[in-house]
Amino acid sequence: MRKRKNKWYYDSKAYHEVVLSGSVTLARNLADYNFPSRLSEEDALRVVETVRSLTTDLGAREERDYYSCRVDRLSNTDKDCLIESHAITPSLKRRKDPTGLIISDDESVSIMINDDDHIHIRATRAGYNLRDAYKTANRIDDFIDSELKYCFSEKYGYLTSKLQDAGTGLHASYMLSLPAITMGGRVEVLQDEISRFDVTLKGIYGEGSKSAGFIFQLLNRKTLGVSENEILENLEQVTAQIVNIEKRLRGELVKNAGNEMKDRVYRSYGVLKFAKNLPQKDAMVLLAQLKLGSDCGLIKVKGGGSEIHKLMIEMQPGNLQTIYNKKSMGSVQRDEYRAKYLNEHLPELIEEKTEETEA
Amino acid sequence: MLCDICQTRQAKIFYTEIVNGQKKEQHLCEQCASEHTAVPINELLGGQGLSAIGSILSGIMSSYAKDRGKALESENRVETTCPECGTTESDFLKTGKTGCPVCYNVFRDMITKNFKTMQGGMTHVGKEPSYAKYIQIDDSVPKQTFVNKNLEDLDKKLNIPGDDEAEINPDIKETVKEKPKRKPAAQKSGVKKIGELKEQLKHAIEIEDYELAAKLRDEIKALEVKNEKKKK
Ligand SMILES: [Zn+2]
Ligand SMILES: [Zn+2]
Repeated sequence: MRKRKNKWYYDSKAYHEVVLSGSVTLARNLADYNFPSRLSEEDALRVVETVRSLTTDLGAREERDYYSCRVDRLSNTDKDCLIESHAITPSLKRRKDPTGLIISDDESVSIMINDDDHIHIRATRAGYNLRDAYKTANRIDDFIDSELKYCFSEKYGYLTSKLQDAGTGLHASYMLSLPAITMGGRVEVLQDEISRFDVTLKGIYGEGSKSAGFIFQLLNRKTLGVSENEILENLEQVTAQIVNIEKRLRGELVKNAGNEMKDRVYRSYGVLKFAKNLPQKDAMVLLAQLKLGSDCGLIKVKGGGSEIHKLMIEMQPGNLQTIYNKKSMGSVQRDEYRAKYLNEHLPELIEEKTEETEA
Repeated sequence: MLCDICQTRQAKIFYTEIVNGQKKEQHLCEQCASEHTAVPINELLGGQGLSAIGSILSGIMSSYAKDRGKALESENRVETTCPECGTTESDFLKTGKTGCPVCYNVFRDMITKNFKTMQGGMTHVGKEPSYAKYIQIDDSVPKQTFVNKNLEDLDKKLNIPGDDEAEINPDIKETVKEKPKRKPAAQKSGVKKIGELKEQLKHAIEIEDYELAAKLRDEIKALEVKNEKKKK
């Protein structure tokens, strides 16, 4: 088994019960080239190499190790790994033309080259920390701006390939863990309600209002005619409301169905600890129930919710194949490796001692 | 069922429309529906439910369908095409993607319409790059350019030498101007900043913006004096 490097989601101090992570993406295009969808292979390669040439300087400025690579030459496993830690998008994986990536050692910062635009700068932070993510992305944007020439319009701002990115080119998002809202059947109502605030809430493991791990992404819809600060502020305000609702509903769940929930949480722990075959969807639900139990104090595990969040990311296919150093895995084999991984890495239970002394 | 327009997303909005006396069923995804509606679709869904959508949508949709119909009807109709990157109107409608900055002028009307319904405003407010290629997008720029394929073929047949630059509408090309930003980027080390200012000065002279050049020259002088003092 390969030893893993520190990743942004290992940051247990930043752990938040509802807000798993915040990330910011800035879309930019270089002057004098067509956008990637209309770029010749030769020019696409030139764009990739031009941006990649900044890697060393970027690392020196940020005082971090940065690496770069050609994404179109990576194996599917490596690409999946990067998608699972949110470093690249699935659309970058699908592109056939030359694509590139500059990435920090902890995968918290990535510069995707030749996705829909020449440059997508993305910064991610664990927990409730969008401002820090934006600061980082903005600083890297300043650096690239000082080295390369962007194309810009005073009217429409940073010119992007997709109209829904025009203006600031900024998409900010929070990953939210919403088990109580989901179990209460309130996701659709919430989605409708918040859409008037120009934000979208969507399930990320599954479609629409169903999301296997109760994990949803909240992101801004508008990018033009609103400033960066307004976008972030608005998203933060809506997030604060959702966090309040989720916490209130969790409280009600514990109050009204505490024993039933506790049983479910411990059952989830048992299955994760001993099952020998675990499909991703099942594992995601079990981990989410365990995380809810840990967040609500119904079960105590070493490292708490942060450890469980880490497992949610690392039990996904790309990570599993990398961890067990396999070039490919069949689906049955993968579900077995997933079970093995979870059996071995599930955080230890911290037993409650109070019951016996009471009895 | 897939959406009638984009053919990629799941259709969620169904309604019947009468086009030329014929009933026509429309199946749209939320995104395409909102792109062709004046009212954001989410508000519609949140408000009256599905029943109210048809009437509001159909007006806009039928004009859209008419346009498309026209385009498909006559093969001779030349499609609006970006002279720089070759993106056609139907490419643009299908993918929702522009292919290059010039597209923003070529498809200006459609883009304006989209921004009016989908975006928070019609003008960028927010960060600006310190030094960029500025693209001009407004009504002073000649709007559309047609690449007439038939004519092109004729040229070839008659052996008329094609001038590459001339085929690309010179008016549109001209609007892609470079100009340095008026406020130079701050918070950089003195030496680097002087270098950048000098670059901008060179550029200002090139584009004959002497007012800016004079300002930049003064700034460079001031900085050089400051750096001299620091050294002492
Ligand atoms: Zn559609
Ligand atoms: Zn174009």
